[in-house]
Amino acid sequence: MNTSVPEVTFGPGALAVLGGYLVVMLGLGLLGRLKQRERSLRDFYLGGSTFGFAVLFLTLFATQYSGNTLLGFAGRSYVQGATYIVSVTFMILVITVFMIYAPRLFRLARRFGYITPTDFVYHRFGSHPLRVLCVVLLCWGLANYVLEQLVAMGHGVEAISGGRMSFMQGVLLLVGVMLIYESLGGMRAVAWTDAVQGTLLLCGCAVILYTLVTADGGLAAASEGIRATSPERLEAPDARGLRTWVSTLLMLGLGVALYPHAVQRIFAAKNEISLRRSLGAMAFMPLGTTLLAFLIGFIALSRFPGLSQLESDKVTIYVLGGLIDRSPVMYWLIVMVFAAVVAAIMSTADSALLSIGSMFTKDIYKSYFRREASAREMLIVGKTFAWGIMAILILMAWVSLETESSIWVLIELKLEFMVQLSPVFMLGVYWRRMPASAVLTGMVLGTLLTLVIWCGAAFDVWATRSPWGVGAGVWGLLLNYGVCVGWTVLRPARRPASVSA
Amino acid sequence: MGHNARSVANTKRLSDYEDERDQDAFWEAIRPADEPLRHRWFLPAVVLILVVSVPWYLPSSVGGRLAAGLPVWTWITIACGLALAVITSFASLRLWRDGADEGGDAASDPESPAASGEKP
Repeated sequence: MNTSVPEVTFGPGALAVLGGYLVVMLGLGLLGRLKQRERSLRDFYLGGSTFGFAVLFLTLFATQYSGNTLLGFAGRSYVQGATYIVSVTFMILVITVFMIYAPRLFRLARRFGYITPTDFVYHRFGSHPLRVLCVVLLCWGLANYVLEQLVAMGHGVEAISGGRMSFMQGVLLLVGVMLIYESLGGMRAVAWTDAVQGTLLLCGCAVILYTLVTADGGLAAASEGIRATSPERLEAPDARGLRTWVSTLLMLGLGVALYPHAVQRIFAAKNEISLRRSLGAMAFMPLGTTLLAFLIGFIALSRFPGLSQLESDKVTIYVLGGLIDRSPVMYWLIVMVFAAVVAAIMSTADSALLSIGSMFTKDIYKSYFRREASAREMLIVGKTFAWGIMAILILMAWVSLETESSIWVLIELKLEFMVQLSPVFMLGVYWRRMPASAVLTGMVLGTLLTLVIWCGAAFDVWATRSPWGVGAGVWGLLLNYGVCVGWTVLRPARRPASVSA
Repeated sequence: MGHNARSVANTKRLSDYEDERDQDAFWEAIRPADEPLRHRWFLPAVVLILVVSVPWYLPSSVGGRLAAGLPVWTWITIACGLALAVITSFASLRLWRDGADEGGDAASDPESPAASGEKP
């Protein structure tokens, strides 16, 4: 059994493909700029709400599946073993959760012209503290999300250049290109580049899947290898593992469905039919992509046992790098796959960054600092803020190089907080009687409980941040929902209760 | 809050409200012609699939027994994932109808009633 990781050498051909890809991205950014209808927030941040099925589906797909899916999920599957099959379920569950609130949110967004998810929050609840808290939690989550993509960018370019470009050079190159096309064309440029990136990703995943099930004895050989070295990772979860499974379903299923950049794609749909078809197709995508990431980690476990937490984030690179010298055809296929990985990373980072800029500009700057700000001024402020945030995140990505913090730790930090917005959307669109005070109190207490559990574990006050196998964010969420429901039911009714519209 | 704006609410977009909010206009606008949660079987079916997808009911004898290169129990979870995808896709395509879009691409036209906040 090969227990050493392969040296991945892509050669100049791969660098040429990467360079060509980046030039195409810049061209699309310029085209997006030329196609701008007007200098308005709606046009810049939602592409004028003109996306039909093809673009909407590909931008949803490229945004939902990130560098984390192909690198982080595979790493998690490597660490956790067969029980990480739960990732397939929770990524499908994300689309199921959309079915609960998206029909109503889409309708409201069309009717009232929402730009950001917090437009809905303020319109529904009319609470300034609640709006600010939602922006803070969402931007916190998104910033971590972008940071995670930066780390993946560094690893991706380092691998594809065969070490000729360093981690930080890779980050700076991709971020530079991303900021240029995003600043030029806004959401329209991001969606068009997403369409290219989504196509690459779809083709790349098909190639990897075919390669994995045909090369080196496929899954059967991998399972036998795992049985020899770590048989416990083939077994079904025990009682605690089952609780963790359910906790993961809740946190990821509810949390990922609240990503602001995904919610803004609901607002960006050309019409209801485009949105319904896109989400209908998206429901099946985890069976190709998330399942694939699971299989990559599973196979890596058999081929490269004993990797550290940090190295586990690179198992996709190791597994595919091991195939690259087999034939010229395989070389170009693997190069395409890595281009798809880079594409997935960039498409997620650009969307998240655009979303941060829109929330800061519309919900904070315009609402609390410059109510009379023109659209032009707000666009300049949004872009400047996005560039500033990116500079801070690049610095943090550099710091992460010096630590043993893996991508998965960053994911948990973002979702633990973002999931606290769940009652705002899930109950907020159905339960008219629920007041802002209940939602705000629930969210504050839920976030505090999450922080206490998390920090207690970090400072060794207690042993785990998942008491009883349930994640800190889920404990916070349960308290959050309990407060929202209890407060609403117990408070004296001011008007006849109309439970649903 | 917002009650004095009720009479003109239907011609306003959110940005026109400033600090006033018309909750009646909000709740009037929120309900689509049809939506998945209005079908009583949808949510129980989703919960049932999720319950089956979690391998809590397996006897310990199943262990790490393999089928087609993966542990047997993972195939149950994958099958449940497929069922969840089918039901979700069905809900999106068949159980959700907004009712406001039948005229086509209203939001993309800044002059259209829907885009300006009026009722179509």
